Amino acid sequence: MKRRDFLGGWLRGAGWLGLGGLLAGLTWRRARAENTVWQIDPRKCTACGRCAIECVLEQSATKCVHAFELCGYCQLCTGYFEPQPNKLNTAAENQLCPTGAIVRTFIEDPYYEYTINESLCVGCGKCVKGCTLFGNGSLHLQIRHDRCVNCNECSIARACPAEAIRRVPARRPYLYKTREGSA
Amino acid sequence: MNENTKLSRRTILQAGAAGLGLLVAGGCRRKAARHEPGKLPLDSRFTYDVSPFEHTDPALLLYAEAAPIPTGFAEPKCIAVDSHDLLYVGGDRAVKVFGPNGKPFPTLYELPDQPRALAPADNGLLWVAMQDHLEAYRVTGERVVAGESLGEKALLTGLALAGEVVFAADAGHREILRCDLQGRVLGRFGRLNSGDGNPGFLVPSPFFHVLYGADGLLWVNNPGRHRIEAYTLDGHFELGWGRPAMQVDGFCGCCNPVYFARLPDGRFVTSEKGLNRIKVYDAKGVFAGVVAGPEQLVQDRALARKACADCRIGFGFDVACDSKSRVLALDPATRAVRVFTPQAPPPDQHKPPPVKQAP
Repeated sequence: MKRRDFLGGWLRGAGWLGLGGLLAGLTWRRARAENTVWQIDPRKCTACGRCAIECVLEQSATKCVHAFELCGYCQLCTGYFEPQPNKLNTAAENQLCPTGAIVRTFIEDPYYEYTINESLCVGCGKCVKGCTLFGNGSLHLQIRHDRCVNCNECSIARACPAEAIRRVPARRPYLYKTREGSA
Repeated sequence: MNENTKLSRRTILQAGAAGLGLLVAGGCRRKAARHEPGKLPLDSRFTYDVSPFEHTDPALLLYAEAAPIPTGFAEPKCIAVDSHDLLYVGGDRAVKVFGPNGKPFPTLYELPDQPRALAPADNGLLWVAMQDHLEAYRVTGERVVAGESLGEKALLTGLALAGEVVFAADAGHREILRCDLQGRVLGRFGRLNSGDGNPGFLVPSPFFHVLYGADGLLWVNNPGRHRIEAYTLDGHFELGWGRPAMQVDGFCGCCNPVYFARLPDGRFVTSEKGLNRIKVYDAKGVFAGVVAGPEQLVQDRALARKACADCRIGFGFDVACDSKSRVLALDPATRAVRVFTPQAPPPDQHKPPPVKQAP
């Protein structure tokens, strides 16, 4: 056998193997993508604000969510109020959220409940920072799957400096904060 | 070697080089794509900024930092100082003892679980608040008291001794427990809307402490109200001081102070979380100065974030004072006790007060 034929045979074989491997990889990746979705791990998230601008959607699929079981229902909520509010009321100048996406409701003296209006939330994480720095960190960011288009390569995940975004099983698509950590 | 073989090798090498070049080019393009900006960056309205409050006016500093005392704990939790200035540090599943110079003593109290608060008694017993019960140990390490469980929701975070009574701050039930020397509950007070006439404790996070003062009052931090409050030993509210403010004379955030102690002259030392700062207030609650500000206490933010065990609740520095008015602060990030010694007062304070003129 000539050296040329020998090398040619090897090259052809390697080519077919490579093509087969590529097809298998693509099929596996597609199957994997269908069964998993992107989600933010709140234990790693630093609320840097990149989620609000890196998502391919016009309005980011990342929204603030509230773990009520962790919340202190504080009168002076550092996720709701500016660091130095004039008064503890709902006046716009006292609110931390630039889009007014947090609703403050009186429960009983001196407790207040804070809920998120997701249609207004842009996922900037400003409230998350305030709540995490001073409070219990009950406000946290999650990718909402009624909005997320589940890109093969999530542009937020690519930009996340804390590498807090990963694929999770689609049957358990959220990593909400709980008393025990994240569920 | 014939002509065909020579050409074939060259062709293979050329093809390989071209392929490698394409791979490198593709990789570079991919890397460049990672740095492509997305939408317009968020403006300052979307930035949470407390940096204006992180700087401490040097004129307000009353203390200078000395060499820290490494605790050797993976997760230090609490400190206390006894009447002989011995320093007790609780963490992991033990309590260690250090001399006034920071030298470790051979004494080691081994515990069944993580200690939450310590109170050394004058009779040599060391009282320890575990999550849901009280324990007391002899200096030999022998456990002499193991109190009853106070329930699943109990979370004891503060401890004070007043004669034959042990007071424990229960952050889980948001009340102060009055216990006997067997760790049994004799009474309780301070729960919101309990009808005992007290303002009620607001404790959103597990930072709740109690201290028995030389003035005969029981002092308790009420973090949700941003106050230090005084109670009689039978649980009646006497007075309270403190106000919410990011400025240095107030208590910042939603719920502060998280720890406090008293100096030998009756002044208070308070410790805040979020914006970590340790400050001094006089016996009436008037701001006197700063022990250490945020820029001094937290120099490595990444380390501080790691120290926050579940990254859910910010951390504070547990504080204790010794007879020389030193302030000892337990740093969960560096796992050491930070030592702050009083600075000499400015020269003008040494001057005698002006003599009053006779009318």
